[in-house]
Amino acid sequence: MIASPKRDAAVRRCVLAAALFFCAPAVLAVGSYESVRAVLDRSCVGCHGESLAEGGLDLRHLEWDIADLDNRQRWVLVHDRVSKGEMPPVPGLISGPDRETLVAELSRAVRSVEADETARDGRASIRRLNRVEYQNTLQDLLRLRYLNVVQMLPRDGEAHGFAKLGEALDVSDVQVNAYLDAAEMALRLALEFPAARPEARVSRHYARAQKGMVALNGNSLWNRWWLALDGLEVNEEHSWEKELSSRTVGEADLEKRESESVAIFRGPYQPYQYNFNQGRVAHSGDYRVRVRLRSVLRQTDMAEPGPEPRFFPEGDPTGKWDFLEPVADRVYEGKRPEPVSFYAMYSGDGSEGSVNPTTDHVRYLATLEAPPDQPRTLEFGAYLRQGEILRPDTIRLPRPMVPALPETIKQLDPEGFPGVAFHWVELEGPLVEQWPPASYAALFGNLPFRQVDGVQRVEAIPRDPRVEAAALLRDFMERAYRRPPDEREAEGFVAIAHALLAEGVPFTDAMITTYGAVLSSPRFLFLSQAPGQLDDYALAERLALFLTDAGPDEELLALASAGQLGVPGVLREQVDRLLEHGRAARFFRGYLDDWLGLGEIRFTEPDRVLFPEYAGDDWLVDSMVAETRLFFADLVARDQPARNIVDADYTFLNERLANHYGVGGIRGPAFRRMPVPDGNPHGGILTQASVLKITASGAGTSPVVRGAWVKERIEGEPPPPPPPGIPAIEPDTRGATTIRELLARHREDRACAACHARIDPPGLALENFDVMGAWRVNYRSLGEGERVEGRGRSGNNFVHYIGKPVDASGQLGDGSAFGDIHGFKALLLADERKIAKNLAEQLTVYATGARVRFTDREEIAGILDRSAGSEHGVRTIIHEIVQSALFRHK
Amino acid sequence: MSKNHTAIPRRRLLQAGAVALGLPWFESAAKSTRKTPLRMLMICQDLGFIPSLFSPTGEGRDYTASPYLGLLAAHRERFTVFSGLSHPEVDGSHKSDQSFLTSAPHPGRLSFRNSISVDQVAAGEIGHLTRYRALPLAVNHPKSLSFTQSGVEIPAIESASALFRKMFLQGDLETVEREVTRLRHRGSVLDAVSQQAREFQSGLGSRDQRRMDQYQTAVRDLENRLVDQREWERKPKPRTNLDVPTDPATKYDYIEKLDLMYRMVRLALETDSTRLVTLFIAGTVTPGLTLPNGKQYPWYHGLTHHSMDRGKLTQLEEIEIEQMRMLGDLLGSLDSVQEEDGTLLDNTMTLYGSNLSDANIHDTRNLPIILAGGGFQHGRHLAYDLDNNTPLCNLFVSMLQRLGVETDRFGSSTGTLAEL
Repeated sequence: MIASPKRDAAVRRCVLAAALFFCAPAVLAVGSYESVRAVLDRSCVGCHGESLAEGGLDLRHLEWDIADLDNRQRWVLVHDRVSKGEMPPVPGLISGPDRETLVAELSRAVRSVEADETARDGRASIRRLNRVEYQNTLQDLLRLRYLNVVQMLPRDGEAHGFAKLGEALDVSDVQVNAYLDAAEMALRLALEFPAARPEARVSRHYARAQKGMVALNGNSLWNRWWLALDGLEVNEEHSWEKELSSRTVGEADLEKRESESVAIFRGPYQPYQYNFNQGRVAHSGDYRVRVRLRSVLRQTDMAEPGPEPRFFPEGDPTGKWDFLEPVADRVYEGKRPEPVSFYAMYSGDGSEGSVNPTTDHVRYLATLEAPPDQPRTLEFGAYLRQGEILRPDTIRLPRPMVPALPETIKQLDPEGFPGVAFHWVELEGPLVEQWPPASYAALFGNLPFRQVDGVQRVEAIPRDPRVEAAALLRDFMERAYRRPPDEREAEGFVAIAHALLAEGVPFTDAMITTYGAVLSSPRFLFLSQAPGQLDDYALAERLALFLTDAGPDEELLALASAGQLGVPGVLREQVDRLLEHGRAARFFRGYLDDWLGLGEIRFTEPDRVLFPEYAGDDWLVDSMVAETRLFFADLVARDQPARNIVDADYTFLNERLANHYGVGGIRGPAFRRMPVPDGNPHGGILTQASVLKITASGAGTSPVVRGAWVKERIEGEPPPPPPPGIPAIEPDTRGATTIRELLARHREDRACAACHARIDPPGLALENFDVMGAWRVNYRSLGEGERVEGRGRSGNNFVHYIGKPVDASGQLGDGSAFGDIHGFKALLLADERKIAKNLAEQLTVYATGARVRFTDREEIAGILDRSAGSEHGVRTIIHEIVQSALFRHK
Repeated sequence: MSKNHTAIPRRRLLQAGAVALGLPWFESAAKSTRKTPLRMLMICQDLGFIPSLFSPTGEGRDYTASPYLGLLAAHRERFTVFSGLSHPEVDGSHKSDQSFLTSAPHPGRLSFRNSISVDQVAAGEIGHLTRYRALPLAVNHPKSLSFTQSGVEIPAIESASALFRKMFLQGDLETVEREVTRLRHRGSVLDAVSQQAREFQSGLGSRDQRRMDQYQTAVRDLENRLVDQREWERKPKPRTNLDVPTDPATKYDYIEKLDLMYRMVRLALETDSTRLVTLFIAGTVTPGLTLPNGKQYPWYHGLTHHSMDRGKLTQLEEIEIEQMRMLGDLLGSLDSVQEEDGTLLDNTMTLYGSNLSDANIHDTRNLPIILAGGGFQHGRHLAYDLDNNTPLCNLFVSMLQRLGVETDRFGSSTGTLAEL
């Protein structure tokens, strides 16, 4: 923003005058300013004055307006640099007593303003639920097995990296309208079930009868991505048959039908997806899903004989699209188990345009391994929604990507092209344990219900609508408001329901509208916290939002109602209970998405020329996220020391990630806890592939970006933002200059050097990791070095060069040097408390919805002291945060 | 609505786009001397353009078109190209897209807060005149360019078919009445909610009271909007003999999606469903694309980080040529619709640009900006200082004023673009 200096000065005068007039602590602060001013004039303004504002800091004109947050942060910075002795940079510039005066007076002034704030408003601003909390809370309240309304709500504002702070969680008319829409959708969903308890049925869907499993126009000559198999025999006729019904023996020969399968050979060109389109789920509910499948291997002979049998057609490199014709495909049993993930894909009610764009289309269900020796039937349980179908995905095989050129399809395995033969899937369900569904009772208690004509939905049958409306509403409000509603509030909503009934609105609709009102009212949307110590209900709310990303459950509310929750031992038990509970998965997901940015891991995609081996490798990216979540959950579960964030001797790996990390000996998609071998650099969150990918762009890595990220998220020392108007340093992918050389030039500029001396070293230490976090010793380039030519995983031709060697050495601000990531980690771990402190602070922001202020430092120090016995175990830190005054006060 | 007002334009519209109007605008427009309303269309393509191929040389009317601008030669007299415009203090690499229509500073920072977008300022003045106050649209990402007064993003419509249904599919009488009743009930819900908010608020500290003011305002704004909406529900929607379009299946269908959305934009403006459209074209998340000639390209975002590699530059250039060609088609298409005062293009201020200039280095200065139509004096290159940019908001203020919004500032503006 362009601001007029004149106007600013005027505003500042006004603010100061107002402060003097209204607020006593500010008067005290002005008193201390004189002594601060005197020291600054003696020792600081020589460099930080108007003519030479070193580091952009002009101490002659920095306003003494501590109430202003930006200003306060600058004064806190002055306090910190001076108290640590980092400033002034030359010892003799400040006398001992002057240093003490400056530090004491700044501290006193800031404390006084913050104490005043705490008394008036509390640390945390009032805030609404963010959209994830809203969804989770609604889902729990309505006892829905599945709900997705996040996409219906506007994105939340974030501050300090978290969507948990009142000052960033704005509200607009768009938002209120979206809440009303989302609530209405969720409420109606709670009534979407048939009037009669549905019987569990078993339905089997043969692959050969699925339009979604075959190409209706047959295979193309050069790209045979599916084959009809009878046992292991290729059924040529059926493989080329265009008519769906003629591709199976069908009912005519039941035994033969069992041996029929569709083998999918997913390559870089085809198929994008395949699915069991006829297995559309009729009733939402729990299902047992059985799949019969095996892994296979294909070899293909081409019309034009060559010295070697070729397994996949190679086209004309001139691009004339002349392809060799495959003359014979032979299929053998697979060489290894083939991982297959299953997804539920929403396909509406089958009519055109029936897909609901406000819900997600594809949900992950489970990953199985197709056995190589013979077809087997494997089983998993899943909640499936009405209108969903099953979609398998052979995650290990190349993913088709536009533009994969058909002439350049690479086989994974020189002995043949792997695939999976699918025989059938079977759905057994819905397996109903509770009837009517819990979601009905959550809204209408034990009122009887009947089917609404023409749709799969029920409506309640009231005996005395007015009386029952009032009773149901009071009960609902008590659960929705996370504390007993006061009588007048309840009356207000009962009046709405009564007015609607009087107007002739049917009972169920009237209740849904009124419930919608409750769910859009401030007592549901906003946290209820008064300045000072939180009461038990507010404590239950804060605790549940911290560890489950949702409102409190019945046990928490019961304890709050009994006035027991605040008892330290009880609180401790509850923290343990919530962390054991499956719902803590929401905490791990929510916290890691924000703290590390895991939620944005797919923001960039590796360049397919520089990094052809990663193209379309979703298995790898999914595995990265899973590793970090499992690891963090383990730190919490086993109270492992916070230093594991930087370095650890174990982690969680599956086959894909183990290969990525150069650790052998693991096969299959299941994760297991594994020791990190000596010398392997991937132990600790800092060097997990997820973090290394998040901090890279698709084309390269920048030590500035990674360095700033490490300073901010791992070390808890966020660097100041770059000065305006300076474009980012982009790695030179032509390879002429290394990033280190670019940075060195940058750092010759004195204005840049001061900050970059702090920011860059952690990033330099990570230079041995490529954009996906794999170890590298040379950069790759597009122009210079040793030429490499080939075909990428997604089938693209590439030419890149092995460029200059990586140098991951550096020097920290205090002069200590490191040679590579191992040395850097050792330096970082010399101060384990710093790593724990950052974690405690990040968790505190997340848990309390307020930044950690100057005044809060003692509390953080206390948390660290009390967790020292467990070597700053992560679970202990969580316990100590919850027990601390920071957590227990607004 | 009298027959002699609508006869001519309706026939022409039928020829031009097979759209018939059910048309509220004449009522309000009759009050001013203009017979047709003025609209504003703002488009952001989020990956910039290779500056050397975009930037023209020379100034004023005699400027020499760059290779890209040459592709718009047929429309040279209908647009102005700018250089030396940007948002001061807007950095943050790709995150600068959020500030393209707001100018809120430092979108990359953790402390970032957005502010109202220029279309929403206009919507506050003229939004009630049309069925939709404004239509935020997007291609390949539900992200939007439009933000409310408090900086909350207004979700964009990404599906052309959903937009089409919204604009043209009319419910039967019963459906309409049901919707009107629903809106009325929603109104009484808001009444109760706002009552509770007042009581809730009274027990809070001063800082929290200010936060709750925002909620109160939101509820009040929504109540007003619902009243407008109820009136609109009873009015007939415009008719069209076009079929509901089919949405292209994947993000790879970037070009088809964009082409379809451009056609929807024209329909929206032509039928006066709204006078304010924003369109965010998300190349950053486009995994790959195919041009109409069948040629396929990898990750668009990846190509912009070309580091001057020839192969990548060539591919990027081919995509950017297609972008400009499609823009030319859009302008031509708007220009082909005759209205009482000139063509639809004459009556639509069409801003096309990007939040990045050189996406290779994430440069947010010297943005590529074109303004077409809207009755300005065009055919020129307005060149501002490349080292000391003029705020893009100055252009926004000029546009707001032309739209009849009485304001002399928006965002980081320091005035208007007097030369325009």
